[in-house]
Amino acid sequence: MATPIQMPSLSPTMKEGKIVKWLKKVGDKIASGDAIAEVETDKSNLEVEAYDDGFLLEISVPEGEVATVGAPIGYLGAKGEKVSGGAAAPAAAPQKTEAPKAAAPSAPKAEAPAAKPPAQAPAATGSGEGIAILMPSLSPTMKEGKIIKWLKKAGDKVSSGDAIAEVETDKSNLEVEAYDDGTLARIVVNEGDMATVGAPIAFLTPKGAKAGATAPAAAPKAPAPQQAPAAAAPSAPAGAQVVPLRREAAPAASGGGRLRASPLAKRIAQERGLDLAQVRGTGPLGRVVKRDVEQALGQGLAKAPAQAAAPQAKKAGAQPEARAFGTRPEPQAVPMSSMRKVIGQRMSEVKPGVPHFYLTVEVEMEAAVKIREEAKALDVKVSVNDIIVKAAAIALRRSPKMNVSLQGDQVLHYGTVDVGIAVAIEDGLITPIIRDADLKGLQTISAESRDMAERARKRALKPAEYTGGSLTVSNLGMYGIDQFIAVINPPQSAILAVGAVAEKAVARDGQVVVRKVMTVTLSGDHRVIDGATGAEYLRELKGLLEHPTRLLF
Amino acid sequence: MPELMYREALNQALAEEMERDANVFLIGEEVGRYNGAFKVSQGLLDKFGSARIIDAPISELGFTGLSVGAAAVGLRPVVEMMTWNFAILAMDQIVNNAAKLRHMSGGQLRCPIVFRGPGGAGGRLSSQHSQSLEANYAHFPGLKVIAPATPADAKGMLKSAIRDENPVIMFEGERLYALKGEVPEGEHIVPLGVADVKREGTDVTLITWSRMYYFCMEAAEALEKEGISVEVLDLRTLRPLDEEAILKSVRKTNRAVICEEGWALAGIGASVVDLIQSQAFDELDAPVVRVTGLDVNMSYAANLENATQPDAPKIIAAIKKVLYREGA
Amino acid sequence: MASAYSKDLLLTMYRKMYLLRRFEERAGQQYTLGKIAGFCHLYIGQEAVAVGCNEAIRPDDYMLSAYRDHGQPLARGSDAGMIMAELFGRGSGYSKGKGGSMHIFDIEHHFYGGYGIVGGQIPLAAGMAFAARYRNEDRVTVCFFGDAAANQGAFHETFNMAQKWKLPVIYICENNRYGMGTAIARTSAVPEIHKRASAYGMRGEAVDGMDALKMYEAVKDAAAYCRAGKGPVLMEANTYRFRGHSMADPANYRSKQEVEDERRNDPIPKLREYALKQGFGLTDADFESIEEEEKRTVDAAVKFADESPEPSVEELWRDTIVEPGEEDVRPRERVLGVKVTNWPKYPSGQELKVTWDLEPRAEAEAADKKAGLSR
Repeated sequence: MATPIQMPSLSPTMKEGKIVKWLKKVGDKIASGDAIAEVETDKSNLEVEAYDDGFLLEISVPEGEVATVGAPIGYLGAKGEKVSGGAAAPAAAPQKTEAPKAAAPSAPKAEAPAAKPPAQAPAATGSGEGIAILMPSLSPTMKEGKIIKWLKKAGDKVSSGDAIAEVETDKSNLEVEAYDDGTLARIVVNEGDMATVGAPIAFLTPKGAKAGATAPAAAPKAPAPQQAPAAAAPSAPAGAQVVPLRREAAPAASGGGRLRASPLAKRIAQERGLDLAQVRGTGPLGRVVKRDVEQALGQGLAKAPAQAAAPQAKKAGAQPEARAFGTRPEPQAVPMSSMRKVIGQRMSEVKPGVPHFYLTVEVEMEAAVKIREEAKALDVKVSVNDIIVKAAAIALRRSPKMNVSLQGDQVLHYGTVDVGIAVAIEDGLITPIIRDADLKGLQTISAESRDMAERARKRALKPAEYTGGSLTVSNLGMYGIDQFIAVINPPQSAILAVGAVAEKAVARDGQVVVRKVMTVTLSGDHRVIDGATGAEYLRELKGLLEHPTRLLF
Repeated sequence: MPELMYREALNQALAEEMERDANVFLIGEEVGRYNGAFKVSQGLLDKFGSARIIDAPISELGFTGLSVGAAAVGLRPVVEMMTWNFAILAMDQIVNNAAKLRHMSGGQLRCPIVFRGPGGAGGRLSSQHSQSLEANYAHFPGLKVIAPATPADAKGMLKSAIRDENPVIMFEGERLYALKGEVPEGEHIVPLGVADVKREGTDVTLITWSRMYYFCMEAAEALEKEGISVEVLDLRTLRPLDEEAILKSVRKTNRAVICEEGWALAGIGASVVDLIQSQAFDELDAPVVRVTGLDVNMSYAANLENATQPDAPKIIAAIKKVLYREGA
Repeated sequence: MASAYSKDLLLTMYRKMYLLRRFEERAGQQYTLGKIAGFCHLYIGQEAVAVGCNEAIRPDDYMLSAYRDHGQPLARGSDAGMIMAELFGRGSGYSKGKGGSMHIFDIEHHFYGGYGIVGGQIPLAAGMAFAARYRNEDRVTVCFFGDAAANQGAFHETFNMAQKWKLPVIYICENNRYGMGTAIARTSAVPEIHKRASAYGMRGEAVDGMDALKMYEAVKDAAAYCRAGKGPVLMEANTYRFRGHSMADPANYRSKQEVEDERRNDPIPKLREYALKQGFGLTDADFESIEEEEKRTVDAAVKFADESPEPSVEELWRDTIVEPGEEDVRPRERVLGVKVTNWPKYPSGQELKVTWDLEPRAEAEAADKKAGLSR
């Protein structure tokens, strides 16, 4: 049977070779090891060797022509044998009767059937329209967005990364960015109009292409909601898909100038809730070092209550320890147990959606209010709500069963304690998240809360700042509300409805006395939390608020 | 416990191991009838005969390669380099053969061999004879590198090296050979890869090895009088590094100074600093500082020679720097 | 007329030489198909050297080589598939794919490796001979190297020691006339390498390396000389590689005519013609059937290599440092699951009695006395 002689790879970089000269002619007897042709490679001229004995039956690539590596350049076989086009070679050697010019470059076809893919129109989303700019999904819950303002107009040059429009989402106002270079050909959704996520809002003529190729047919002003749900899919929190929430780092509490401190000093200060800016550094260039931090702590400079991270807290046994600052472990996804699944199903049958249950407790706030007063005396702004957020966070860390979120069939167990705070804004409500609230000092929590509430009102929060967490604190105490029931903000699993701190007559040790009392109601997602879990959590929270020194342990 | 000189401790280790294992032989220049250029092999020719204490021609590449070949087929050679400066001629055999035999053979061969000799400055010998070359060898996977400072460690580590199944590079020191110290008799083994806290302290970790150890101890004692508590960590083995011991000490003191006789660039201390900053960044209260030989060739003139090398005052200055006590 | 050699020896030699040739042809082909990478130095043309030598020594004699090292282990009886797998960089190679073409090691067959630094294996061979002498074994060590290695310092340093200590080692310089692309005479003051032995008072001789039987005779004699404790031998085998230095070498530094002339001196047909005339009743068909068998062996080797997986990534962390208690790897046991029985064993440090007096004491003391020295 005829065997092909293949164009060999004679250098590591060789892709094709030119036959400079045939050293044998058709009909010649050939022994293994014989040089049969001379080939010019990208590096030098080398000889092609035969690896079998036989007769040269056919020369497929004539002198001066190029063949890719691996393509047959000739055939070897028994004397007088015919090269059968089909059997011997999967891709027949080019017929010499054809124009040889055409045959030469086509030699590669022996290599692989799909050597060159057919030229395609640039794979763009809009077919004849150029590149479509789609309404992006800018928050986890966003389904549609309103164009507030176009920042570019038709005919403007656009580069990848340029902001081209401002969009109002359900949460905030954000900018739409271009991902390609080109010219803004046409705006489809006008200012003030809505578009669903994934629907085109404008078209871009790619760089180098002719602008205004074809006019679009029927620009949907406000695409029907059912349009392009598939396109929007990636952003939809599809139940089954558990994606660990990757977030931006929490913004630094203070944005001042660079502060010099050794890595160790920074770590200790963070652990002990000490503001390094208030510590005098004695190292070179005023660097704050360990001894400075220790001195400051000795003088009671740590205004915020220190964290429960002190080493002696280890004795507390069952209590989960605080993490070191700076690391944020990913949540652990755990499949729902069968029992939990059944509970979930049954509860959802009775209460569709998120089946809520409610637990209410009264908390004496004398001690907590005192903290605020002490802070005030030190000219530090700390609100009762900040103390509640802190206590809610510490309680969450101590009740890991509460620090969860249901995502499809899986329960996410958070390794971090992130607490939401409900902020009323004009026309609505938003819940920014205090990251690592268990690790932060009251002052930091206070500063972050105020900053985020302020930016929430300006609709300037980034999506990462209001996603995640397992629990939100909603406080209507400032409106004089005694008690209320709040609705859980999914995928969180609980919300604390906090009423006003008010003086009430209560019975203590058989006596009627007046105490500052606050009522808290916990709403829990019964699919992942049970009443007992919630009750334990509330007991812990109550204990922390009534005896705030426990926040230190 | 008897007091021995460093060279006597080595001699004891060699004699004990050769007694224990007839596969061990010593080869090198002047090791036999001359009794050793630095008297390390004194008396061994009489004890073990000329096939086991071999006077080699001055062919470092040749007798090193010969020994590697002997190790590949089951013997356990100890190759004495008159000094490590001369072993540069043999580097091909150490690096390309000894360190790679097991790898190239896919685990079929092993190379149990010790290359030993003095490193560091000798004393008024100028540039070709005064070099600390341990960093060069510590660079290569497939080798172990040791540099004991005390006679006891010299004995215990040479015995471990001879029993090791891998090529071991041992740096001794011309200026260490006559130093005395207590050395346990008989089976005294110091494992390779284990650093030793030679002096406990709380304020700063001083990391060193080989002859610099003595300057470090001197500095530590001087600083104690000023109320500074220095922990001296003698690495002893430079490959593999005892990372745990380094980190443990730095976690305790939060500050570190590294003293090495060799040049700074690509030195072993550079790797130690890297280890500390990458693994214990949050434990550091000050930058890590190195005290090294100056970045010049060694001169013959006494004052220049002294100025080139680290010494106790330089170490003290470095420690005060990391303690932020400059001028204090 | 009775032949000087047995039919069996002649056929064995023929079979091995053909195996070496076919193996290298296919290795070359696989290189061009991208299956083999890196440097790949073929032995084509030099087969008589390795095969003639191997048949003249004992299987337990030590052998090692430079990086043109596929031929010698094949001559020793190594598994062709596992060598090919090593060339392919596969886990089933002799060195788990860690060494490649230049580093074939088969300790079971006492082949102690291919070494990539020119001349670097020359002192190692003296050390292996030293160990044999140290243990009072009568085995010899055969070390191959190329003509260009003769200009390395290792060559001179080692010969001095080997002769001084009368080490049982045969150095075979495979003089294929070119050190890569440089003709030996262009860089050597004395291009006849064997003459350099005289500088050390060492036995040196030239042999026709294109004739397997001449190699066989010369090595047999040299081995007897070594085993008798007379010292080392430098043998210059004049040979020729039909191919470039490595696969990447177009060999422009020599003329086509030269290569063609040398090809007419091909050692394989030469041995065949000799054997046909020895009155054993052999015919061309006998040789053709040997060739067919060896072709199949090599085809199977290529198939084995091609079908073998790459080494596992965990292998990265093995074979750099010997961990305590770790055994040596026996490749055929690891890859083929066969029980390897002739793995080298060495006496323990307690069993071994060293009786060798490398520099006899009495002589040394007499010399001292004569010189008026007291040590």
